[in-house]
Amino acid sequence: MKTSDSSDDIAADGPFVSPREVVADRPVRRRPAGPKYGDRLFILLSRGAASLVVVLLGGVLVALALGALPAFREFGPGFIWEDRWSPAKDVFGAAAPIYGTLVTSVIAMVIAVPLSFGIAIFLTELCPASLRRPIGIAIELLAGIPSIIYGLWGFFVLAPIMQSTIQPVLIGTLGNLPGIGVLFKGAPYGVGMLTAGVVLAIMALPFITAVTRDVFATVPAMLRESAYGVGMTTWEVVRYIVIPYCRTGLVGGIMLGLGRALGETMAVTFVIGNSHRIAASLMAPATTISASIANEFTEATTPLYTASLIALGLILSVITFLVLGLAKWMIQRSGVH
Amino acid sequence: MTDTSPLKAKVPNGQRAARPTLDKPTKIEARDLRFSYGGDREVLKGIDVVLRDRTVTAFIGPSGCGKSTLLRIFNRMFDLYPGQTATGEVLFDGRNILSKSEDLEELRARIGMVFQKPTPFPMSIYENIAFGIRLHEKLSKAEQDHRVEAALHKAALWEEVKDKLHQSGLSLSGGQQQRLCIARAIAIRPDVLLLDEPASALDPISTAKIEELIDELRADYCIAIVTHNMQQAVRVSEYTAFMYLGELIEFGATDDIFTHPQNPRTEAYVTGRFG
Amino acid sequence: MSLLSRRRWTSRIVMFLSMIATAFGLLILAAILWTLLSRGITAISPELFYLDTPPPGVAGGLANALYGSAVMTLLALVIAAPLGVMAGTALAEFAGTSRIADAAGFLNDVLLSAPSIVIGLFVYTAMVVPMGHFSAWAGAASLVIIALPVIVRTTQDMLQLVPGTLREAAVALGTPRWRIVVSVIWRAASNGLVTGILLAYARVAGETAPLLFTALSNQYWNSNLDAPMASLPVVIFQFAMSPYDDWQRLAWAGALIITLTILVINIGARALGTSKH
Repeated sequence: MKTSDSSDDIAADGPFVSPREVVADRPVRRRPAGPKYGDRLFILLSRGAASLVVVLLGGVLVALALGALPAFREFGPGFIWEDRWSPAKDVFGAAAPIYGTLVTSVIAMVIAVPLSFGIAIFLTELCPASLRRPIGIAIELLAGIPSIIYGLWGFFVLAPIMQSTIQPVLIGTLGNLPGIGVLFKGAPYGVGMLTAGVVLAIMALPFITAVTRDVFATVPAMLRESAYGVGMTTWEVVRYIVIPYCRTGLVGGIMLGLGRALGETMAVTFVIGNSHRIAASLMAPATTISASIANEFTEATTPLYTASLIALGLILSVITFLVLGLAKWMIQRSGVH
Repeated sequence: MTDTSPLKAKVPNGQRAARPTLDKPTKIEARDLRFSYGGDREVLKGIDVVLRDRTVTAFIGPSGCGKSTLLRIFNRMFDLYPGQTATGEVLFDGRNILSKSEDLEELRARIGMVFQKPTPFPMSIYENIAFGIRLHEKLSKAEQDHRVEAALHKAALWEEVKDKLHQSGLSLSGGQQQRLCIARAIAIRPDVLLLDEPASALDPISTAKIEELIDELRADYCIAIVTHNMQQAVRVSEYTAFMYLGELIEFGATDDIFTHPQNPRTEAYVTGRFG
Repeated sequence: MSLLSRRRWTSRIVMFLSMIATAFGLLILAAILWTLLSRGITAISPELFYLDTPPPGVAGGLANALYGSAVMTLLALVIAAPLGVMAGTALAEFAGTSRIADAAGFLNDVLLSAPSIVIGLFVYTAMVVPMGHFSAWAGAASLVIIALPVIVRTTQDMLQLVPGTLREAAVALGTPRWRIVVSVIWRAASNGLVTGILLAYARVAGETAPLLFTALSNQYWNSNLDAPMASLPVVIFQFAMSPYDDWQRLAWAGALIITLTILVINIGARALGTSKH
């Protein structure tokens, strides 16, 4: 093959066009150079859309703060810890809903965390590769089921089981223990904080499982293999290598589930029992912030009542945003993208 | 040293690099070119090099020597990444393209680039080529068809794809994809082609086709090619630049670089003693 | 028992427990689906789709609620999809520095998991109060705020999966940035973008809390976006909590419809999202 200067040598590659044609009249130049309005506009639009997200988040907090102002002006900061809720007397305090929110969420975590870890361990360490995806997807589908469906199921299926079977057993056993016994005393209502906690646990489960599985996957294979190499059992590898390696991410996953549980509305509304009383027993009917808002907002008759419910919403936002922010930060720090 | 050109023996059929013809005009000239990825460390430490029109210049050197980085300055690709800075001058037809006022889209239309891995766009073979043409020129449908076909001919791909122009570009083999990318680059009539290890991800047969193609394209373009493969540099280039640790160690006619290297490090590299 | 065999047994027991946990998770999913099927399927009938929600004791259907849900969710997606894709593009492509992108992505994730009832309250104070009445617009607005961060997040993730070499190849042709995004990046990530929009749909289709005091509900067929509008989740909530048998049957039928729709969309979105990678 010749590589001399003559371009005529390379005319052999096509009957239709001479290759010279491709480069002929090369200097003919294109559109005029100038400011790139298309780019500027497009970038402006997309950044505007991104700012909207930030503005919305700020807007939520500002709007709720403004709406809640009358309640805080009337009741002062005591609104947060006063245990009174009387629409008839137009007197409100958030202690009972806050208590219910926290207790149900803690119950949910106590149940969901070991289950989620178990599922994640199963999926990463035990599950045959061919089943890993279907089982993983099935668990994730739990997250796709709307919360109202959990409410329906909790109210019509779970609550009767709790009332007839589980709660009597708990009352009969744990209820007799000194100390923690008070948590399990009283009548089995079916609905109440315990049932709400169970439903929330099921709802938080897929979120915690997904994060746990993802952070488990960040453990370098070499680390895992060298642990097996010194003769550790599967459980010991998980316990002494995987979990310590992922600690931050795991806590982040739990916080994420907690954030979900704290803010969950419809499922809880069905099974919480709606009572503004703080009771020691976990089986007693109670209320949560979100359930109070869902149940009472459209029936709020006075401006102060409405403002008090909005104040509840503000408190909920602040709590969940803090928990979620922390969760997100911890998950990111642990190397899940 | 008894054998001054150990490499010659490895080049099949005694293929020899074309002798450079020194009268070709300068297309790109870098002067005291320095580059950093951000921070103080310079990865190019004052490069002076000349790329001549209608000539193939090869850049060789061990990994991390800055040869790909150098190539990516010629079309200002580094501008994509905030913090990366180049100082010095790069004269393209006498104009310093490092100046802030440079129209990058215009510049990149005139200086095409082909990458290590084939990068067909997620569209049909035809659209892959027409896309670039439409960016820069308004043509009738017939003219556009003509240009697409010409580019595919030029890239020696036409016979293989003429019956499936509307299939996805991703449906082609790796070697075909790479030639599609070359066709895409030349379809917008650039002056310069920058080839960043264009054959390193390809099998030997595809590599041979790409090299043949470069050999044909040299008649029309100023071509800069980065390669890890020294035989490839010998086969396709008239000039060779040997780079090491961000410096241009030696630059000259390919034959001279491989047979009579002046610098001991060049000699060590081309004889395979390091790198 | 030797130390080794005790260690082995501990491991076996824990692994067995993890299997039980997985079985439990799957069992719950099956139980919920079984409940919905067994109670919902008998309540499904043609009338559901052409009769409006009835007063107690009268034959009726869910037509107005189905219509209202369709209108509000589609309206929400039509608004949220372009906004979300643009915002996700900004985060992935035009963030300036990665710190700004990280911060905006972080805030987006917070909004993504914000309690939906709080979104409802926000729209109530920001829209319903100034307008003076509940409306389908307000309902759709609250769904937009819920769908938006879902789309932003998936868009950002999917665009980041597009190989940088493709971006560079487009740049090397002298392509303007907006054309690179529209013609190359979006196209390369198109399946992923659709996945994000489908997931957003699945998310808003079941939302109840934010509609309670924005769109409220409506016993009758309504196609006026400026008036209260029924939606399937809200009707399910009202009817399920009522003491009337026929209302409860309608609630189960609605629950079955909504859940199957969402599960099918979820699975479809997943299949689409993974088909290319």
